[in-house]
Amino acid sequence: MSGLFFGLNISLKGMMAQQTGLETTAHNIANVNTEGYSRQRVNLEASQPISGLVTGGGQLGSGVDVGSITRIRQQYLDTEVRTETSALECQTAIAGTMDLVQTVFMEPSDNGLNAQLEDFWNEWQELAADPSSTPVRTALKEASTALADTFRQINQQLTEVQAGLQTQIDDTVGGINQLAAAIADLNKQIIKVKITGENPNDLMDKRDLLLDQLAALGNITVTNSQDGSGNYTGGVDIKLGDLTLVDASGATVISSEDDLSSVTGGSLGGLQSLAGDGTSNDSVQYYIDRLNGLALSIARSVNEIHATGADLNGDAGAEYFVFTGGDGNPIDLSSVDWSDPAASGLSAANMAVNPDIDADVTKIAAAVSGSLVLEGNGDIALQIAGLGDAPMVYDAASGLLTSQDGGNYTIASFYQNLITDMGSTVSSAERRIDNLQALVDQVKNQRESIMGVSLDEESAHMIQYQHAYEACAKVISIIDEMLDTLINGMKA
Amino acid sequence: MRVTNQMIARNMINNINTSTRKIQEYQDQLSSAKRINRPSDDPVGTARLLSTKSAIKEQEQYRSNIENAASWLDNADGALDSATSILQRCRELAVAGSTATATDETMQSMADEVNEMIAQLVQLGNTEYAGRYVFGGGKSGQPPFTVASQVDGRIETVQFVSAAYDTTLLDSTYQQNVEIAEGVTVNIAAGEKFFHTAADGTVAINGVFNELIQLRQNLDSGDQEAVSDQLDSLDKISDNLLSERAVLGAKTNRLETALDRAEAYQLQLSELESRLEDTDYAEATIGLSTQQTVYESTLAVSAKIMQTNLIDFLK
Repeated sequence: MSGLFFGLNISLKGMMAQQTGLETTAHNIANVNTEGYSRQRVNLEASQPISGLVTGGGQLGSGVDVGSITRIRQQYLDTEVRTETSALECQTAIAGTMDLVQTVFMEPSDNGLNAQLEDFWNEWQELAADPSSTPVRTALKEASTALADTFRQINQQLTEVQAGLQTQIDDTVGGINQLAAAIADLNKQIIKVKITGENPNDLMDKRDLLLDQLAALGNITVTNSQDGSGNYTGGVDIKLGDLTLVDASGATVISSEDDLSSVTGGSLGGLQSLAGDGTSNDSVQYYIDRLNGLALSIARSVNEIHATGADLNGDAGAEYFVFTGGDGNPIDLSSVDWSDPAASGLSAANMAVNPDIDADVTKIAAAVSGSLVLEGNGDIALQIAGLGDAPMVYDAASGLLTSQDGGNYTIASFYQNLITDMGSTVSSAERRIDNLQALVDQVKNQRESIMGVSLDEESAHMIQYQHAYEACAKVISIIDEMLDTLINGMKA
Repeated sequence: MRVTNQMIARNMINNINTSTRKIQEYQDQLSSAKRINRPSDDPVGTARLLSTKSAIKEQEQYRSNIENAASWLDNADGALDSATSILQRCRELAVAGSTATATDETMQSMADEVNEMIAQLVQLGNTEYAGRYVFGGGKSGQPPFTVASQVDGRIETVQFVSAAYDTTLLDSTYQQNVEIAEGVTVNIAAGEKFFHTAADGTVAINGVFNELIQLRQNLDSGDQEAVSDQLDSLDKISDNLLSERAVLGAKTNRLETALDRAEAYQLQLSELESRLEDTDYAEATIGLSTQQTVYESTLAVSAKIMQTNLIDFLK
């Protein structure tokens, strides 16, 4: 038999345990809206029973102990959320910048390059129909200048978009380093607590939240770190792509100069493919290259035909389009290696109508050359106008289109393909964003379903603990009465 | 599945966002009246739209080319019509001059009239249209025919373009090609056949003037036999004129056909453009009102869900 006071002790322990439960419930309710918080559960367990007191078997229970307070969370769902978040943010970055790129091209509109090109060819037609007219020549010059200006502007705006990408990459790398440092710091704190045998639930939640944020910036792999003897320390190791970002020794600072080619997810992955070398249609360079190719092809083909004609003064056609070199003078086109025109400094950025023609429109060569000056002949103008519909082949190495029978492109269709390419890149990124967003929402819901705080549930727990607490108190008051009976009742 | 308060809130916000985004898409379509505002709205449709827009502009250009060319040819034909009556008058004079009753004096006055006719024909040859000389071919910037030498008011020779001009240049001179459909050109240069063909059908610069000057000289010298001999040649020159006009007529017909085709094609293209580009109002309006209903019910349901929890029922 045990003494009556033993019962008091059991009830006291019970009241204390229920109080801990209620406190944890309070903590859960207080954090119902805290991002990244996972609900905590008090694990109650019956305390060590007392043996030898009961004859005929059975041990006497000694009440309840608070075994541990743990957070309820599934690590594999965290991994899921992070993987999908990386993919989502990668596409978001691509869609954002490519949307800018398509804004630069301003299609479909009446002022885009498509309309300018058609105006340009039409002005040559006008010239062919009325070759000696100065107003027609001036209109052609203006259309040509507008075309060259549009090429220049688009090129410049695309270059600005590209320069902006580098800033974004630097910012993102900065963000990654900050998060990595914060995580390494939390690692240390968590390991310290873990050594004492306690569960640093709230610190781990904080770290998981930072890992979620890090996953949005780059594709990361998170592993639990182990000490020399293979025991988990409580810290985590992080790899960004192939790069070690956080390990037992702390965070490694990365820089945008590092080889980040293994980073293919998160905003950084998206930004990297946008800033890529132009082989794929989700890089800005792809569009700059093709725009340049288009400008150079037009300039080259027009110049070639123009040179065979005669202007109103009977002189052979001069270069119609020129490319301004770094010194402000036109680059000598006769010495250009057309298999690599960029090497000579030719691009859409420096295309212009020959200043001599700009100053004197009689220098436009519309007529066939011959011993007579035929101011009423527009055959050359007609040939140039015909370039608009001429079949062309595309040479990927030089990026140029050249006239060839049976070619797959016309200048216009090449441009229209480019616009389709661009539109598809944006729309497929947007479609993927929709899908990935749904997926992220779904796995986040799954995770939330396990770790989230439900007010109804906590309210129920509250009642549960309250009633248990009341019952324990009741036992104490009963024991109190029993003691009263024993001590005061026996007096007489 | 356990459902928590955060889940309810997040799902509600997601649903409201999805709903408002769709409403915005329809509103964009309705307010801009355009189905495609950016290439990503319909990448393939955008390319088709761009090529349709280009094709419409191209057809507009062809129409303008055709209309200009037709006016040019009309003008040339009008001038050649006047030339017909000049040649007729010359022939009448030649017939009169070859009859026995004609005296030296009357033949002299006939020569005066023929001289006048030649001057008129030179003037016709220098017909201008919109500042350009119609019968000079590519050499349209200066009067093609000039009276080179005159003796006491009599036109002795007419010069075409320049003294150094020769027949080898004719073909390249009479080239004024205008594109009337993709890859189809019409040469609207007029006058080569009429002005530069001799009575025997061979190419001869100023063939018609040479013949008439010859007639005038024959009348001047009172050579009735020679005048009579020329009647045949005059008929042949008239034939040349007729065939020149027939060629111009045929070209005008071609232009008319091409114009009809360009107009019909342009109409088709405009319809296609509208189909590709314009908002389908019925569809977008229905879509918008459906989305608005969805939005409102999302709001109504959300407001109800969020109102109560267990706490409300505990005392």
